[in-house]
Amino acid sequence: MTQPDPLDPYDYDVTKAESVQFIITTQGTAPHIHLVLDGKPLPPPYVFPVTKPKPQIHVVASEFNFDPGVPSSAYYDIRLTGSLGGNFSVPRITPDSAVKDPGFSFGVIAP
Amino acid sequence: MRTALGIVFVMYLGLFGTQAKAQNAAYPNVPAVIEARVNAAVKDIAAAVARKAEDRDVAAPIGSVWNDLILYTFAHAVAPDNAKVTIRNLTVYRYLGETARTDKQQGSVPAGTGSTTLVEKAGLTTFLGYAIEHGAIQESVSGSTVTLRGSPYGLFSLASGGDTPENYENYGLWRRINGSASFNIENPSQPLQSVNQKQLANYSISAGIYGDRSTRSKRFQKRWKEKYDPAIVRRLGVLSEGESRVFNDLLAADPEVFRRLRSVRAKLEQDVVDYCKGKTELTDADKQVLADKYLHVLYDTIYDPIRTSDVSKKQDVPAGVRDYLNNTVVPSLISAHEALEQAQKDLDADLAEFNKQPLLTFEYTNQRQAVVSGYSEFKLLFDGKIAPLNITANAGISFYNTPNRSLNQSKTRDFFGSLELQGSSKNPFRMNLKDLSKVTYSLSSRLERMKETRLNVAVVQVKVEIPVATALSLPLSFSYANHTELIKEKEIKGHFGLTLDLDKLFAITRNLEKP
Repeated sequence: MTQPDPLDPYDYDVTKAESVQFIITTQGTAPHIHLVLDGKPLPPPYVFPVTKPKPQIHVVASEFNFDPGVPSSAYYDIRLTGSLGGNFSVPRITPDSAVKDPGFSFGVIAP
Repeated sequence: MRTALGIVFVMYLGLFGTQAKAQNAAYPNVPAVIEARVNAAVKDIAAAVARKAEDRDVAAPIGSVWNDLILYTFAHAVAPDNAKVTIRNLTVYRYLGETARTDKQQGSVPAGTGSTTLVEKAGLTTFLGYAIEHGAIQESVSGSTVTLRGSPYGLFSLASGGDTPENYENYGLWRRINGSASFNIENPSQPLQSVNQKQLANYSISAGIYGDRSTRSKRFQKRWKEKYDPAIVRRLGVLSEGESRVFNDLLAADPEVFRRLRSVRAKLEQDVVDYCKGKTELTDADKQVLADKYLHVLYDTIYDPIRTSDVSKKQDVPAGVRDYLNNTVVPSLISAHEALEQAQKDLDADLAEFNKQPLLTFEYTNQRQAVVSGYSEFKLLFDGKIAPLNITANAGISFYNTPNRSLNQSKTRDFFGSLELQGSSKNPFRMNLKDLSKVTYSLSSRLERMKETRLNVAVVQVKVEIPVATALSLPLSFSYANHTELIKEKEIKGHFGLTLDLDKLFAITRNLEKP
């Protein structure tokens, strides 16, 4: 897995049959984590294999909610890893974040 | 016997503003959902600039909403002119829980209050700074007092990975103990330096004996999972399935389409980074510039090429994609948003109900007063609902820390108890069926026996608040006391007034202004 645009940690290039994992750390809130891959819920441990052929795209919609009234120090840290390499972090999501439902795309570049 | 009649006028003033809706030049006729999404990204860009984040974090919010904005803009562009249901009907999404209860859990205090003699002061200040930074202790400054709140849980979890869901589960007992300590500030610029025994004004420790109103409790989490998760997942499902299918169908028709879009996005990201370079904060004007840049990209790259009549610039969208967007994605999204709006209302009601669960707490407070004698107070507090009334009851006893015999003080200072019953009922004066305002009423009483004065003080108050017009209510109250603190006479007081809630009034005005 690679990140073609260094300024965009939500867009990746992947290889067919590679596995992608979201590693999520939760602090200060119950874990209200939702990941949905191409229309289907992606449950813990948030791993999916790349099944689409080149040059198609996998899309993951996500949402990270906080319990009402949590302190602003609560957060979610998100990292993405690819089974063929690659380890990337996404900006922290806090109760003050305006966007708590970032969308991810995984363009298949090979084979 | 003395009687008094007072008139009280209360006005709630809030921050409000009117929003003039002008046509956006960057993207004329932009759907509200697109504009809101762009503004959310810009807000996160501004936050990244304010915390002096790296270029990647300043630009990242653009990518966080890119997929949704591409989908929304395509949906806007391919909507037939005469369509009744379009992306313009899609309401702006609010995250569940974001507008719900905002009161924080009762804070707690480091158990080590007053123990500064055992810890070097500089080390304590450093430790407090660290604990506050990591959320284990909360600090608040009010006037000339700094208050620290926390719990043993905060300190234990600080040493073992923080306030993770696992620690929250494992250290359940310690979460029920809270404490707070207030200190008189010596140096306003360094309030934490006043955290020492000499400056300690008071401290308290409380322990939850029965009940748990935390939204992190198992009971609330179970309800959230069963009732609210499905609504959240439904919207995400529509988005991710819609984006996946639309993007892949577009790729099938034009394999270069996403390479071109990536290139446009990368240029926008660099443009934003360059614009923010050297700035320490973004003004409203800066944010508008950035929002316009984003909207320009969406309009110029997607909307205009699809809608233009200029054949040389025209971009075709496969009929299958058009039909799917118009007939499946947009109606499904609108329906999912409606379900979430209903879920938000249900959540507000659930939280209000959850907040009425019986709660029994023990509290110890030590008041250290320099002028008069300090004392310790032991209290039991009950808060709950016995339909149709909300009940709050307290009972306690206090002791002087060092009784002053010349003031007739003995070890026991006083006994006290209080009871409040609150309820509400339908407003008989309501204007129409949509008027949901309620008459609220309460009966409160307090009994107290001061040992040194040998006085039994009883106070009873009855209060009724009747809504008489939109945002206007009439509060009436009567109180009776068999003694006051100064005069050994009965006292009867009556108050009435008018309460004008301007926040409510302007909320109604804003709703009327909405198209």
